[in-house]
Amino acid sequence: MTTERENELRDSLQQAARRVEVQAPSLAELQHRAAATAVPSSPARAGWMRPQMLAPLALGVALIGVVVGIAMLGPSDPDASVVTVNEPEATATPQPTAVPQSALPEPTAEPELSPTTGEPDPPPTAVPQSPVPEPATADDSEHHIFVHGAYIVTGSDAGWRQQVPDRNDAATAGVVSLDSGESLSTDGWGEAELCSLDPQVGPVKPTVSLGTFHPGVAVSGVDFDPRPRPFVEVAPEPAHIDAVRSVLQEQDHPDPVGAAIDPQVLRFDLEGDGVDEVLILANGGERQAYLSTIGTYSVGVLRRLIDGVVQNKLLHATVTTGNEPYLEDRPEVPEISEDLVSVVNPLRRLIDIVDLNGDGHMEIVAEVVYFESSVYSILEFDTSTVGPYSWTLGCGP
Amino acid sequence: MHSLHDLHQARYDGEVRRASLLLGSATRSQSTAQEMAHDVVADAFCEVIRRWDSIENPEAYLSRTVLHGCQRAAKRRRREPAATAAELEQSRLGLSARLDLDQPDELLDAVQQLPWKQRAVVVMKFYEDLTEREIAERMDIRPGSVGPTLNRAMKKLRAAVGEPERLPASDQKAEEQS
Repeated sequence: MTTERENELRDSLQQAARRVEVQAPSLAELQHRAAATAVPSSPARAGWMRPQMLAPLALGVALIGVVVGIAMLGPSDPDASVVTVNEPEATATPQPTAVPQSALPEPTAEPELSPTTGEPDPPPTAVPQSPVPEPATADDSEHHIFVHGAYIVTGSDAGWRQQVPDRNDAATAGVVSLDSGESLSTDGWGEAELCSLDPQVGPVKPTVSLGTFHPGVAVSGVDFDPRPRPFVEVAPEPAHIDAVRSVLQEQDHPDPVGAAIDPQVLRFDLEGDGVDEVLILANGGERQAYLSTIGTYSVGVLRRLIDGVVQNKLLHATVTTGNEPYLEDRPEVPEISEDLVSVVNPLRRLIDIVDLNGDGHMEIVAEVVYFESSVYSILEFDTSTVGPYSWTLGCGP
Repeated sequence: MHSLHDLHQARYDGEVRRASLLLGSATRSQSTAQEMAHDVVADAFCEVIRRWDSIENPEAYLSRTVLHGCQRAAKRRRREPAATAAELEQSRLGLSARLDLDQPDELLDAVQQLPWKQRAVVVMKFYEDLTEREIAERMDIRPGSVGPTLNRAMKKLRAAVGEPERLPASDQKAEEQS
């Protein structure tokens, strides 16, 4: 495009922008709206994990995050809307064959797996921050809220969905009643709102609007501490990056050595035995709509100390390795880039690490994002070396 | 930006105008687009107000929140069918017609037809005059992917206005010599 055309484009955009009618609300109106739609943060910060806080919280709390009904999580619950086991079978990460030796994970030395009852853990390294703060992060305590009622509400950047435990149709959006006499209402895929429930007219809304930047977990109706132990995010170490690289090698990534790997690394005590585990989540490449570039990947690895040896447990791995003309028969799909040539490769990201079933072991809740769908994956580990069990909730791959 | 009042005075109108361009043709009508733009910006301001004490750069946070809000709004709206015949008719109009410009602006209309990512990059590049690095930071993408995205967008815009393909520099030189 010529410079003249580019200038013409600038002028066109400026002209179009000037034609937009703007009737700005006053700052006072915005402040009022912000206050009216705010989620009370102090109860969440002050003690949202304590069972005795449940009743008062349920009356006034605004939901932010994923509300997980404990009743749905029990493997023996026949009514649970747990729909599929979607994760690859967990195995020790195989040793690569062609990756340089320096890139291999250390088999035994694992400085971050220090017993918390022994020497004090090294302080977590500061994670580099983006120059622009994220609207919400996994360590934002505001998104963990208790709510009465055995329901699952899933939240993501794309909006909110609710799940009713006695139905099999996952990801049902609509209105559900909560024990507190309030309701949650969603506008399709839009934001959910906490409403007053009028028996004559149904939900009266809104009293509180839920934000969309707060994926998270809330647990209701339980008499145990859903977060018996915290988790901390630490800076990736070479061993963590090498663990991901080994998986890429095993999964036939086209360039496992050269691939950019910037994992999210979290340290936590899974079983409560005083020995920390390390969760490594890495996403790379480029995704758009249905498509991903060759080399796009999503890898999750759990590093555990088993019988005195550090082992990498593969939680999930997807790698786009080839070019498949997925959209040849989908001309109606609008957002296509020419270099996004291949198949679905969902993004997986951590939502939280909590004890959801009261067994004292932490579960990992991750979100699997794929175009318009969003699946919540709950990884439940047992005390043996086998695991994890995976429960997935939602709609998608 | 020293206060919320300053931010509100300086940025609200501009953010609504930017949001209208970003929402593009995803809406049924221009009035819907403007309502949606107002909603997105108001929501973003509310988010800024709530987090004012913890935000280091409110302007950048606001811009980014508006950007993500537009993306979500456009995605949501695309799944909804047009409700009336009039809305359907409106949805087929280019932005220049919707804005009742004096004459159709094919370049502007072509921008509105770009996929979300390309449209966002074009708006940020040519409306906001951001650098590629700034665009990458705001969109949370790799800086290296901004250029290719912009190139694809410009290729489509050239095609839309009937401008011939640009020759590579080496070919241009050879052509000039001949």
